[in-house]
Amino acid sequence: MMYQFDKQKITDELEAHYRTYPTNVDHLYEKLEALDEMHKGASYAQRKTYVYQVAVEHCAVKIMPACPFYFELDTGRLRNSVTSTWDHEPGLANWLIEKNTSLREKFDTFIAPYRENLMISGSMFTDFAHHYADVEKVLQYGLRGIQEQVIYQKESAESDEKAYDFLDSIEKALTYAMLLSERFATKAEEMLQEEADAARRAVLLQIAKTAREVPARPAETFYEALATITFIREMCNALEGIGFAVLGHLDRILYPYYAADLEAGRITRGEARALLDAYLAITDARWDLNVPLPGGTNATVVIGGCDRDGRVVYNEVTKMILESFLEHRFANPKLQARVLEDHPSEYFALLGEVAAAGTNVLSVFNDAVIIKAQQQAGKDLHSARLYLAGGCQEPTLSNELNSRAYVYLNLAAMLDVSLFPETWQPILKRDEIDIMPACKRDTFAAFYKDMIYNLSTQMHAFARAFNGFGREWPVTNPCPLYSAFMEGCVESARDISEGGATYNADSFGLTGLGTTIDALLAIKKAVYEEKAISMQALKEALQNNFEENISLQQYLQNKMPKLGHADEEVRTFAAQFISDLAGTINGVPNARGGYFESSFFTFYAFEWFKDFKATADGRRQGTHLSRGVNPCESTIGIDAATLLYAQEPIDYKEHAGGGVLYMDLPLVKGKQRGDVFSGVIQLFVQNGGCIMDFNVIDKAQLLAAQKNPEQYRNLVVRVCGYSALFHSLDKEMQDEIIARAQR
Amino acid sequence: MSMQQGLIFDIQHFSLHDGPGIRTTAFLKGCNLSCAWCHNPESIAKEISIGYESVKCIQCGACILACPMDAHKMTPEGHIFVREKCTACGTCVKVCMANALIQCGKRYESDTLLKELLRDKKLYDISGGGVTFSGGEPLLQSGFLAEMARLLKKEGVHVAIDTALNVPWENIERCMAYTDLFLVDFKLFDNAAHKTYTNVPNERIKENLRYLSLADKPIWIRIPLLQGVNDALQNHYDTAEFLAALKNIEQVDLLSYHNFGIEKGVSFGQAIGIFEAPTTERLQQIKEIYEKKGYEITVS
Repeated sequence: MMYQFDKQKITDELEAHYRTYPTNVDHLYEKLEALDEMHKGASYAQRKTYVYQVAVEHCAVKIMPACPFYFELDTGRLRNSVTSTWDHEPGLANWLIEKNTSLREKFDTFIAPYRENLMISGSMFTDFAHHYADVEKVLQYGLRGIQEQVIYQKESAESDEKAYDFLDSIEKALTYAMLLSERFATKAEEMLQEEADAARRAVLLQIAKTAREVPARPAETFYEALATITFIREMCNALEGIGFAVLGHLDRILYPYYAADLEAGRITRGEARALLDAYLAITDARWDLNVPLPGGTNATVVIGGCDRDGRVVYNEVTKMILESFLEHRFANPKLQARVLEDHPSEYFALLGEVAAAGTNVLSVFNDAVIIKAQQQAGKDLHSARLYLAGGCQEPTLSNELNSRAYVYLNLAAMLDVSLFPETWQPILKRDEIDIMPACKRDTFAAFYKDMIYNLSTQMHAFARAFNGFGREWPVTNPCPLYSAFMEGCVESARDISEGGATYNADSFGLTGLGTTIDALLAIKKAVYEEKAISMQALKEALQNNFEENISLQQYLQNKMPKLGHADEEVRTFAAQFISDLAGTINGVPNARGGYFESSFFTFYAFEWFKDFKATADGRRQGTHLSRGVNPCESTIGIDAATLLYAQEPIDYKEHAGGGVLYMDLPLVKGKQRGDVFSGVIQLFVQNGGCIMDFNVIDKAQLLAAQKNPEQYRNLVVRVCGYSALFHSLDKEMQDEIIARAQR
Repeated sequence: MSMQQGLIFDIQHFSLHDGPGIRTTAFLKGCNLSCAWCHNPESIAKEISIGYESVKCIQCGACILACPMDAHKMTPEGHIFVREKCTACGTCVKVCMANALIQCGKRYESDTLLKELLRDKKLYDISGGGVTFSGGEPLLQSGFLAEMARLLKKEGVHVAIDTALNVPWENIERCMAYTDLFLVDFKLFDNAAHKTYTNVPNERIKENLRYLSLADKPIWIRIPLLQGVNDALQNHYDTAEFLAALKNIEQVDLLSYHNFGIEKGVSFGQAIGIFEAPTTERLQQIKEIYEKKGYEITVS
């Protein structure tokens, strides 16, 4: 297909459409209620199909011919939205969620004391935001092929009413999805009646022809494959009431289509690149990036890595995607680059260029560690090799229902339990969390043992609680459409929400790792080894936020060993604690037949928890906790090389949920700049790091942008897991990012 | 053979501006120039020195009790450091919880320093980087420096020396065999002006540079640029002409003035002048002078 990419035209056309969002769909709720009334006693999965039915029959489909794909179904959702919540998020997809008010009440009751005491942050009972619909299944079989499998399964499940009913809901979901695709074809034909512009007519013709058949049948060309990828994700976003952050492992998936088209003379490299450009441009154009976006767009593209047989993925599509990011400086989607030591140096060099460009969209994923971690968590090698990641850096497999980044635990508060059992006991008693009196122990070894026990009992109790809520997911928001694409759901006749997927992972985002390690190092040295202060005196100082003992605060902050220091004792201790921490949560069963997995992504929780009381590392209340697996911001002498060195002793294979290193680097000018970043990536991989987020910042530029935002409208920074336009952040967040540049 | 000792005042990992690739820069203490704009005034003294950053002081008085020389006093205005009485024994530094008192300079055995410098060897290998010795004037500790360079070369590490070359030729020669790159700080062409602003003439510097250029070692020239001091175009015509007659000059780095040295000067009792960077336009004119001679130019 001859298509000319024009970023400005896509931006303008999508902006014109999405600025009107959200569309009022109140009248359609009435239709949903009418269907509900008509089928009293229907299962939740069947009730969910009413959403599909009403949306497909009544919601507007929109084609914007500056972009060659068909994907927009206006179900009343917000323009800027990554998920559904209980707080009346607009849109039909939220209809069922809002009905389960008792779950919300139970959840709020559970979390209230933990929120109040800054131990847990989370607004939903499970992850509604970081999902991936396995588009490869659609590419291979088409919706009709999947439906045939469902019908076959349904027939053999006639004796099992529940299974039959569920499979029936999937069958309906697929029917509606195909009807929807046809609506796009019809819409394109209608638009052709009026459209005079040759380029736009070409797009409309292509859509009219393609949407009638694809994704109902398997994709055969590069264009059809990209159209399928776009369609499936957006349909899920529009209809399921959960967020599909992950766009897919694009270079691996698309290359065979590209190679076949090229071979057959159906496409040129330039044409393929234009289609990729258009695809990548959609996220920035769809979103209003000029307003604060807590969490960003969540959208992520995965490249590189390997295929299911372990062969390195690096091809012309990889190069085109990287070129596209370099040329168009997209702020979204984020670019998740999977990296193996076997990758050609050209790949590292290109990644170095992307990092050096300062667009701050790049994360690096170390395949050797992450694949092994998935295996250690019980997943098969072939599945593990096909891992993806998103919306920030949460790893997931294409046959896994992962539930991550929906709740963040404050490790500093969980350690505080061991120091102040008398304070925490009344709070924890309700959830049957028993505590060992760590602070009364005579040796650090005994203190440490109790402390790990206490962490473990807390983790287990939180897992129990969330499992209780998780078991209500099937009666809150089942997802038959999503389940159609998820390996295991059709075969087992179970929804993704009830453990139908082949794999099911959960994780808590453990926040403040560096702060907690530093606090432990301080307790070890100051209280037990040097006996510079008694446990009681330390507790009093913490309780008073060091108000009456600034000398002690400075001593703890400046004279104690810290995570990140190259000292062997610190490195060994940190590695041991991180491993012990993994042991407190790894393998704990979740609500869907899978397990909890240790993970250290913190999103912005390091800021949310900043008002937690003083900690033994000398941190005072009001100061951020540490980010990801990073040392505290207050630790002196931390540079990129030191950060990379600190990764070496840590066994990230124990953390299948991932551990994120935030790599803030200065802007580097001159011919060597790409080499510098490429070098950092290569050493990160060699040193056994897990996930690395780049943030390339120039303090002078940030200060200038804060002063004159109108002159820096396109300056993108990495806030934590997400990227955002600097001018759209609030002052506090801007200051926090500027402070990182002071290091 | 007894281990050599060197006096180091800072080790900077992930250094991107002191030679090719990603490097570690070790700063050796002691300098025989007194540049009016010195960026590292804490490096000038040849022995360990104590710095005091009043802004960090929490007025706890611990140093007053600890100091055997009575060099710390508490006045109604707060803590005063009487530098003249200080013998740099470091007692006060140990008890200063706020790190307001800092010791500048640490003696390293060559094997200890080697271990620290080799920590990032993987990064040097990946990025084409290595180790740079800077200062101060590192060649004032040429025995230690030569030993360190030799040990690093043995490990396959690229070695650069950042020097003003105001040292006896023997000091340079001693390190020559183990050094891959010389970064030569060249402040001013005119001898009298050089003496005015650095307290030493530049005949020896020029002579050493001439000899060095014959030694088949790559040389990068680094020129700090300060308004009213050395940003006259004539100074750069003369410098460029002088350099053009030399061999092995690969690159010229133009380093626009920054004032990082002023606060450090206050902390270490060194009076540092306040200057301005040249205008952008002047910077461009200077750059063009060297470009016309065919050098690769970097500006920072």
